[in-house]
Amino acid sequence: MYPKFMTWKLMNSALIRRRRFSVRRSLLSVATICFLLVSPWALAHNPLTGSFQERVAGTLSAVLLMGFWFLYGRGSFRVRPATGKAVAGHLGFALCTLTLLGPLDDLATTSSAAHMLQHMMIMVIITPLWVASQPLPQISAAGGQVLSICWRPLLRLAGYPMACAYLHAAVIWFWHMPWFYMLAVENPWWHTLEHALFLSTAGVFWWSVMRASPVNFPVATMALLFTLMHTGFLGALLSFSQTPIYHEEARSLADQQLAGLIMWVAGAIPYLLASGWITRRWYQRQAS
Amino acid sequence: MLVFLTLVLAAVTALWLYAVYRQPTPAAQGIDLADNDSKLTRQHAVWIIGGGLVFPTVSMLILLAVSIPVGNLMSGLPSEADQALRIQVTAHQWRWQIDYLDGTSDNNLASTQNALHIPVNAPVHLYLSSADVIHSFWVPRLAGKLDMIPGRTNELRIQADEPGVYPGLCAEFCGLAHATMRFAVHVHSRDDFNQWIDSQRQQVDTVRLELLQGEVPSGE
Amino acid sequence: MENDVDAGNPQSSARSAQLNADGLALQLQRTWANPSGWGALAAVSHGTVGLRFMLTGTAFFLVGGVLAMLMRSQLAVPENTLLDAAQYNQFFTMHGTVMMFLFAIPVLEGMAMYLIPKMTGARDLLFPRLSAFGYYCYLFGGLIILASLFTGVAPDTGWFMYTPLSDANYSPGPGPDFWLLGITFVEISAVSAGVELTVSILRSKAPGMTLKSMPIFCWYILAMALMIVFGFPPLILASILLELERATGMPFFSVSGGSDPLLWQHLFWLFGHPEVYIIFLPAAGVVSTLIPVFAGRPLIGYGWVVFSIVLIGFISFGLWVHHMFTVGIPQFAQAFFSVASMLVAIPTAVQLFSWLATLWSGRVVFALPMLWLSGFLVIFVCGGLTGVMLALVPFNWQVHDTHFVVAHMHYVLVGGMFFPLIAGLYYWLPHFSGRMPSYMLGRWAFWLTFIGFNLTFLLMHLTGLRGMPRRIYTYETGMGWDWLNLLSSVGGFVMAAGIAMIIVDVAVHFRFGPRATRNPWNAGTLEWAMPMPPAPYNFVSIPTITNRYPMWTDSNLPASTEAGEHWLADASHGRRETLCTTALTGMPVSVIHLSGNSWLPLWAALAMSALCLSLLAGAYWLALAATLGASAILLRWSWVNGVHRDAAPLSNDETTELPLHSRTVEGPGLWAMVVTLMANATFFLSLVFGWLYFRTVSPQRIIPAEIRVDMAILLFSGALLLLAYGLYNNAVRRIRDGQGAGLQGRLMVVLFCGLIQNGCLVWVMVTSPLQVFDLTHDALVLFLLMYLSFHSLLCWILTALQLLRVRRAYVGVELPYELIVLRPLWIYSTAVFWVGMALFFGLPLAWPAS
Repeated sequence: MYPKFMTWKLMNSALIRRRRFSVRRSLLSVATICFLLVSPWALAHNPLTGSFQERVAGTLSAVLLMGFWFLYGRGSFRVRPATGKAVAGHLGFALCTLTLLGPLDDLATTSSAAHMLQHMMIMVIITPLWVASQPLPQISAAGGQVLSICWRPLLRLAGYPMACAYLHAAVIWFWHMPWFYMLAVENPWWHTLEHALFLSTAGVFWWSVMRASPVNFPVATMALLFTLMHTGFLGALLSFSQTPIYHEEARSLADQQLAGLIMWVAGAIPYLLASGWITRRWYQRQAS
Repeated sequence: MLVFLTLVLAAVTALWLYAVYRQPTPAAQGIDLADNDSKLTRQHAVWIIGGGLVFPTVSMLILLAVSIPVGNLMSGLPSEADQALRIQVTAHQWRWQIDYLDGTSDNNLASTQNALHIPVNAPVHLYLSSADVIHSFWVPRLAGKLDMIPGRTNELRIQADEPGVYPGLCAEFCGLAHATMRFAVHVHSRDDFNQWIDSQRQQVDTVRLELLQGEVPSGE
Repeated sequence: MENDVDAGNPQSSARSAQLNADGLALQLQRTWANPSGWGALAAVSHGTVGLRFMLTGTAFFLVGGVLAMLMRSQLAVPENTLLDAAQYNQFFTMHGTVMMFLFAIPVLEGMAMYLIPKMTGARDLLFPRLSAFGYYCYLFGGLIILASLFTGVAPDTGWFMYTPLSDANYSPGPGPDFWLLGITFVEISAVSAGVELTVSILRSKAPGMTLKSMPIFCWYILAMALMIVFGFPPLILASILLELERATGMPFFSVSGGSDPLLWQHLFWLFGHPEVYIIFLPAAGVVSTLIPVFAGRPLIGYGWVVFSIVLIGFISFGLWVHHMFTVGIPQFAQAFFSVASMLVAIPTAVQLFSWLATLWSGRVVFALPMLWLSGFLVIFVCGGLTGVMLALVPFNWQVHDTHFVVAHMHYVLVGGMFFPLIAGLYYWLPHFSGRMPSYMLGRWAFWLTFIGFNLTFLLMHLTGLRGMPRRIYTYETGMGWDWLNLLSSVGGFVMAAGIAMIIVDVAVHFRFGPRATRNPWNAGTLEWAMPMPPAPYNFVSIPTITNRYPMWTDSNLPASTEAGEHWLADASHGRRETLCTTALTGMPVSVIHLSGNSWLPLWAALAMSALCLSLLAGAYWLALAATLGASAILLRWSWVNGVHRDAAPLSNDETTELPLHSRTVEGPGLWAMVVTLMANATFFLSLVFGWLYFRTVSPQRIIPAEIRVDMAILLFSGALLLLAYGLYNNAVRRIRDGQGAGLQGRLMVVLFCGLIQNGCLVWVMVTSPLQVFDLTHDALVLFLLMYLSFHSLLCWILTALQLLRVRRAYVGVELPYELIVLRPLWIYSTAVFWVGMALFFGLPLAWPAS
């Protein structure tokens, strides 16, 4: 009951303070209500059922996630984000909660497609939303300077889009090798680590691409193309394979092919959109 | 679909011709050539965003919404091999070898060359593979084409609704005699088919028996 | 000369300025002129090379056209015996190959090479000798391929060369070898042009010309060049692997070794899908260039067009499975693939509506090029719409590999490429000849081509829907195809007549066309600022350009350029020079000294075609000799660079304001190195894809239980490589900081490490008990080792060359450029070594054979 109680309390306090700010209040309360609607159902799964290990790992992710969401919500009072950014930020947090703690996480232990959907949510939906929301001013306003020490090296890394793309690629391919893949499926701690790595490298990658300075635009394009291509390769391998690669007894071939298609085709669309988006952004920003 | 796409073609062509022949008033030309950052005017935004982004997106969504269910209906036969007659089709340069498999084991009931015999109104499950190069199995009136690739087996479910003879051909270029690599699908009534396969079966059994006894099968 | 703009000016100061300008033009002419007579073969100027590309491409186009006419004659009536199956198969294979590889891409490249420097305000492309080399590679490669046709051993397995039909078992003749070697040769030319165009567009624009204010055509060509850089390597890899399989029996694609023939299809279409857009983009660039001219107003939505160009580039690399719908894909995949295939309609529609809006708001002058553009619009939109139909998978299952697809493809390629190309030809014709085309002949030619084309291919849709498959040399009567085919054939000949008329028109106009005035179409872009035909140096002085239509905003531009009022109005040094500007903002940073006329590109290409021919003949010792010869010529080529006395020797009066690029730490060579390595990385990525595909997808894969390579030596070799790289990097850093002491010693240590490292690699290759002729797995491992070894060796040789240059004082603290250019190659070689180790030897540990 502990995490549920905690989040309730956190959300309540956030709600009380929020009343004074009319513009964002409606927005945030929508997000909060959404979360409250799903939370009992979402949280009912992982931290509370399953083995002790699973519960502890699930609770840890939930606490971390809620902590950040809380910081972001609280920081929003001190540093007002633009409406669009606030929507993106809260949407990102809500989707992340759903993805990591919702039913998808349970399905992922038996279905490659669900697991892939989870990964793609993290890699191409949630993290770009966060990057689009630029949450750092809010989080550091609430969390103080201590937290900014954590992401300062990451931000420095984000100045090098190709390096971020390589790092992200290494993480993706590493976790899709059968041995490590099954490790993450079977052990909740490894699974949590997997998600943390996906979130952080995808975050840095998207930051480096979507927030590239005009000078870095060509490199950002190349980084995006590289990522599009190698995720496409991985997706193609999964869709064309005629034998189940992961956990041969438990997962059907069709399931794996669907996973491949999710990565190859559905996963490609955000990258394509991003290519158009960064071109427009660069075009509008470059002084002529 | 054809009508819609023809309409699009006609509309775009008409727009183009009208745009070419239109002679707008010179007022429309008051533009700053040195300005590289000029924003689209309202009218131009309608052209480019409306015509270039919204129009194709919407029309493609409509097309897909109509065609994907139709597509699933077209190829909507169940793909499991359980109840169906199972036939192994192996392509060679340049002939078709067709083996009729037993319901349970992979024993060969009968074999034919360049002629596929199937019963009417019954699902038939085909295992397609190739002994040499890539071929493609195509009976235009029964199903779409499916490649036959060495080292792989593709599965295709067909069902014929009327007895008769359907032409079939190789649809992937496979070398010198590709153009003449044809076969025929003979669709029989159920009884005829059973009779046919029994006669084939007896032949096969006789041959097998003779082989077992160490004799060369007779016949010249 | 043509300097008559300011003639007759009474003021004496103006007159002396005019005299100076004339003197300047003369000096420039002396420096830049092509040699005459046989010496013309050593010419490297982009105008000359671009025209040669286009003319040669036209010749190949005629060959491809004759093949098409022969095929149409054969198919005109059922059961025709004009051609037999063997001839027909050769002809359709060669028709596709010639049109794709020897006509469409080279002609568009040639057009880009001719126009880009003139549009961006440069005097030449940045690597003129590379252009010439690329041209000769293309010419010789094309001739080798054609030779097979005239000797009757042409490839006959389709332009897509699907294995196993094209392997040594099922095609024992030399046909596929001609294709694989010849096409690889031609592709070297394409990739080198891609690299050159990319770097030239980015680094040699006129001062002030930003990416945002360059002509839209440059954006299209930039995208095309980058797509060539990323799109061709998969096919080069596949061709090399298949040729190795054919020549030595290493089973890269055959089932017997555990591989899967579909791997070829993946690699082929990984190239083949972008290829369609590589052909379409420059042609669309012509459309986007011409429409504003004839509408008399700027292109509306420039930014949106840029957006759609980038998006098309991305989409073309996203999904290549369109061409493989029938290989057996899961049923639920239909919807995914249909959506993905249709996506490209969006950026195309953005461009289309941008053109429509431009025409809408302008007062259109309906000149001859506009007629061809209108033809383009009708045909291309029609082709695009049948493309949408083909994207629906169930429909595709029916019409795939029928004449419907043939019709669709010709609508897209002829409509999307040929019609804009002819529009462009008529538009730029005055630029080549100084004369205007004839409207009357041109109109006839258009209508004949347009009607002939539609007669042929519109009906062919119906033939396809009635079930006529592709690639059959004959058909029986009574299938309902007879009259359709007959009419298609008639249409084919009508179209041929139209094309003949274009050729007559162009030929006749050189003699009878009326003289063109300067900028005859009242265009806005810079290539019209020069007299026609242009001088080999393009611009007497290089103007500062701040907007997209300088000819519209500054009516004095041609005169001021010729009067030498702008940049680089000095030719007394006898060097070929152009400006190097920053990629995005167009700030001038240095002066690039370009290489001049040289026989080296021709010799190098000849040596490489000798290599190609000796491989075809199976004379491997001769091939080795040719390789050594080619390497020697290439090394000589790189020796006479930089501050070599044949290039730009050091002199006492060098300015530091805008230094020569070889005196700087950053210049076009570095960029070209990086772009080339991007192509190389795509090659490596394709190899990795092949390896992973083999391990996961191949249904019949055979994976040995243990690693049969001496890992200890291999790791030792890798460690040495890392060490050598570290030392090299350190030497470069020191020299950048101005510390030249001990440079030679450092390079020698690098070379020593490299020598041992190379030795180790060769040792591993020779001693490992790999069954390369039996197992795909081992063949791929050996190929990786050869790839790594090639790179190590290349680093070693080039570093050795640098050591010699340091001794000659061509390279040093003041001249660090070449060492810096070489650095990315070291980084790349080290990186691929370790990535290769991890994927080929590390991966099996975490992913045992299954």
